[in-house]
Amino acid sequence: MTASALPVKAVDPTEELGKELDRVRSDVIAARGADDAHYIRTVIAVHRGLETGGRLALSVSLFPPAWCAGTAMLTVAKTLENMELGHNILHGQWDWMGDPAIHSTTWEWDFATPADAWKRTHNHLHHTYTNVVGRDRDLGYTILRMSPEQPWHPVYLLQPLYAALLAPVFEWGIALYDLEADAVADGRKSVRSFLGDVAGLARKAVHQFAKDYVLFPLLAGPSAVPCLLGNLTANALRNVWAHTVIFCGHFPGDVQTFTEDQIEGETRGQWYERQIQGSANIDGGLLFHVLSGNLGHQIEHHAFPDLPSNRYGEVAPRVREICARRGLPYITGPLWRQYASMWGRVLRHAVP
Amino acid sequence: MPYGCRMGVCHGCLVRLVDGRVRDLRTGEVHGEPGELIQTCVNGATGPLVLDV
Repeated sequence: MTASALPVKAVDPTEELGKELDRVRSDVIAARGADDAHYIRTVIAVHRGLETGGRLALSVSLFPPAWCAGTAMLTVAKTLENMELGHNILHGQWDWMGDPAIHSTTWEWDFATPADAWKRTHNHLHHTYTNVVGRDRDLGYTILRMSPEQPWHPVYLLQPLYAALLAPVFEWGIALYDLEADAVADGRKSVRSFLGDVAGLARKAVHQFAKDYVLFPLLAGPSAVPCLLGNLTANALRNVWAHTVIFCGHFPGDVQTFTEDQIEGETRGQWYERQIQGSANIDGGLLFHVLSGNLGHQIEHHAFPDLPSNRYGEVAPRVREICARRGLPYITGPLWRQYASMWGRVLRHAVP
Repeated sequence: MPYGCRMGVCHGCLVRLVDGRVRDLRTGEVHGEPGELIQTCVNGATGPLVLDV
């Protein structure tokens, strides 16, 4: 009687990838503690110092060096608050500390869009359906055509222009985008919910406007006009920087998009794979990474959205090695190259 | 109960634990202190549980 070979259990490489990345994740969770808490509290202290210093300088900004210093400090403060603090805290990256002041449920950021509206579209929708055409609205933010699967329309010929014009007013663009008007038109969101979000945005907008364009200028007395201009400039510069870093996260040329069919029945390993293939990193030093909310580690952020951002740089070599060994892309490059590549994609899909 | 991604990444399902312990379905870890916010989509009850929904 011939002995038949025992069936060999096939090892699914994607599931092995999932397990390897889960191990990276659990290593970070085991290690996180006092050092990480100290880090975020330091960034918060630096933000507060820069914002206070900036606003104080802008209160005497009739004096040009005070205007320059004040605007510069306020720009850096707003950048830190938006990217390294707001984005990451709202992701729940610091919820583990149990500190009610540094928590995804309580943080409200210095940005037009209200935190809870942003959390829903970003944490849930963008991070679950990353780069899936028709599900991830961040793929073009409903106004840009960023993949060949999106049907072409003559209006996209203008997209290089309006993508550029969006930059200085990015926070208002995102605020309107987070209302999800297209979802209401499609029947995916109720009118009632939409109106509730509109009310929330109106409240936040009034608050932001009053703070930067009424209150602080008035407090500056004779320096009211330069103070207002300084605040406007700081907001615009922060918007341009955020637009730059964020557009480099998923739009450089080689980053993959996916169809809805491709994610049907997606396993955890496959989710990890799509996050890696659908994201792009930016090379840079420590200062660059802190000022970009560690989104230069976009691949790591998408694999581990709720792990503390200061850990992304640390796990990056491991993730990179795992990708290299498993034949997965790891798209990265210096800022100028990723930026150029992103514009290349905007131009390419502007035409049919 | 609120929910989001249903896979433990978006923190859209946080509910406050009042009493009892939960098991993280991803790692097996048993945890939970009164007052703690729990991700309900990736945690299961280990016994009687009271949540503030």
